[in-house]
Amino acid sequence: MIVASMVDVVKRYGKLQALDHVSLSIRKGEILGLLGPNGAGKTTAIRVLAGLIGADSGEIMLRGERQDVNNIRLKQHMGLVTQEVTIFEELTAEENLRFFGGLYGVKGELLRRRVKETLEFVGLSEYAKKEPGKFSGGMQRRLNIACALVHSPDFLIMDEPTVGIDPQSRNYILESVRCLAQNGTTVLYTSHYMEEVQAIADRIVIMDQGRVIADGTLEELIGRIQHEETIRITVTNPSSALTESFRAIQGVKTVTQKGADYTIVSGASSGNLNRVLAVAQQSGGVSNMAADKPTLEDVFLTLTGKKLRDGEASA
Amino acid sequence: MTIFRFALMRGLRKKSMFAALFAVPLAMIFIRPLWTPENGAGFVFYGMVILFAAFSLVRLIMTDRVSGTIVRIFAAPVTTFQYLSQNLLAYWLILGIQTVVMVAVGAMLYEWGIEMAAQLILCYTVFAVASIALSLAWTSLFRSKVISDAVFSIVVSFMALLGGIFIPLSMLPDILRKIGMLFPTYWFSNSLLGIRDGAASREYWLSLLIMLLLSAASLLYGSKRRLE
Repeated sequence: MIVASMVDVVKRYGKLQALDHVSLSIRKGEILGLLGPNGAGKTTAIRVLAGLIGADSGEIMLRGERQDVNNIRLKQHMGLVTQEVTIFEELTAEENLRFFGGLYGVKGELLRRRVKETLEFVGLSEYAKKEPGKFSGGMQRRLNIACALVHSPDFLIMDEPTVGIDPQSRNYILESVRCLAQNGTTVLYTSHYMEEVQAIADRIVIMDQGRVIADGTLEELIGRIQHEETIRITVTNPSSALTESFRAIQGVKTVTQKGADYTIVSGASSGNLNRVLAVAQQSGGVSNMAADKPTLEDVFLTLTGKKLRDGEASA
Repeated sequence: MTIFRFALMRGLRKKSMFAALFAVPLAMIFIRPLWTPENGAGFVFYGMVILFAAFSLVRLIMTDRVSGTIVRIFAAPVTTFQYLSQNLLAYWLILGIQTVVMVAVGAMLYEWGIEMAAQLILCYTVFAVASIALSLAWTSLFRSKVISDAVFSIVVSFMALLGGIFIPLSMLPDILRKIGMLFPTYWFSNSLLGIRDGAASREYWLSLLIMLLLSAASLLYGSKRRLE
C-alpha cells in the first residue's frame, strides 16, 4: 500500500528549479532513504510532501488524499524531524513534548502518557525537567526526534536527523528508526551519509540537482551499475609464476603485485573469488584475502560522476 | 489554545524578561516627579516601556522563524492565523496585566480617579496592540535578530522624537509633526493629551482609532511572512 507519493512534481524558486519533475512513492511500513548531496532538492521535496510549501505543478498524494498547504487535516498523521534542532530552549524537555503533542490535539492523560513513553523511547526520561540548552548535541537531536513522535504519527519524515553528532548518538538514532519501522511507522529518511542510508533503508531514492536519478533497493541499484570486482590477497609464496596463473583466470583484467600482496581486478559478476583462492592455495597458501564489494558510493559515483563525502559533492 | 498557553509561559519564563515586564514599570511608578500634572513625562515614558516590552515578546516569533522551529510548528495541523493570533493575544494579555497593575498602583499613589484610570488603561492597551503589531511588521523585515534589534533601537528613538515622547507635540515643527503622524507614538501622545483635556475629547477617541488602524496595517504586513 502506497502511503505517500509525488508524481511529476516541479518546484521553482525564481530561476532555480529545486524539484525537476520528481516522482517517488513510499510504501506502508518501509524506510525509504532519500539520498543526495546538499542542494539536491531533498529538503524541498520533504517540505512539499509535508504540505509546508506548495508545488508549481505535479501531484502529491498522502493516504489517498491530495496534499497541499491548505490540507491541515493530513498533517495530523505525519511527524517531521527537521534538519536543524527545532526545540524551545526556554522550555524543559517535557514541556517541549507537551507543546508539540498539544499542537496535534493530544490532551490530558493521553498526552501525559505519550510524553513519558516518548522520553523513554529516546532515552531522555531522567532529563524530562531539564532545559535542552544544557543538553549535549546528541541529546538535543534525540529530543528533536521525540517532538516529532509524541503524537504517534504513522508517517515520519526525517530530514538529516544525525547531522553533527557523535557516532554513539547516531547509532542510537538509527536503532530507534529501525525500531519505529518494525512497529509499523513508515519512515522517509533523508541523508547525505551513504552509510546511514545503506544501513537502514529498505529502498533508496537518489536525488541530484532536483531530479530523481535512481530508485530501488540497494541490491537493485548496485546491480544497475557496471562495476569491477576487486580481490586483494596476501600469499605465503609470491612468484611471477603465480602472477601469470592469476592472469590466466578467465575474466581477470589486471593483476598487480607488491611483495606478497596481489590485487586482482575482474569484470562484474565474474565469480572469480573461489578460483583465485584455489590458485593461491596450490602455490603454497594464503595469509589474507578480501573482496571489495560495490557500495552505494560507487552507485552514486557512477550515476552522477561525483563523490559524496560529508555532504560536499566534488566533481 | 496550546500555542497561547505556551506563549504565556515562554514570555514570562526568562527572569530578564519578567524583570523588564514588571520590575521596571513598577519602579517607574514610584518616581513621583514623573507623574505630576505639570510634568506628566511618566505617562509617555511608560508608553516606551510598553513598546520595548512588546518588541521583546514579539522577538519570540522571530526566534521561531530564525531557528526553524516555525517549520516544525507548521508541519503540525496549525494555520498561520492560529499561530499568530494565539501568540499575539498572549503577548497582549501580558502587557495588559502589566498596564492594569501599573495604573492601579498609580491611581492609589496619585489619586487619578476611576475615570482617568480607565482612560489610561484603554489608551495603554490600545498602544500595546499597536506596539505588538509594529514589532511583528518590523521583525518580519529581518533575518538576523542582532540587526533587527540594533536598527529598531535607532528607529524607535526617531519615532519617540517625532511622536512627542521627548519633546511635547506642540513644540515640534509642522513638517515633523506631519511625518510623526505616520507612527503610533504620535497618536499615543495625542491620546494622552486628550485625557488631559477631558473625558469626551474627540482627540482621544480619534487617536485610539488611528492607532488601531495602524495596528491593522502592521499586522497585515507582518503576518505575510510565513516560512523562511
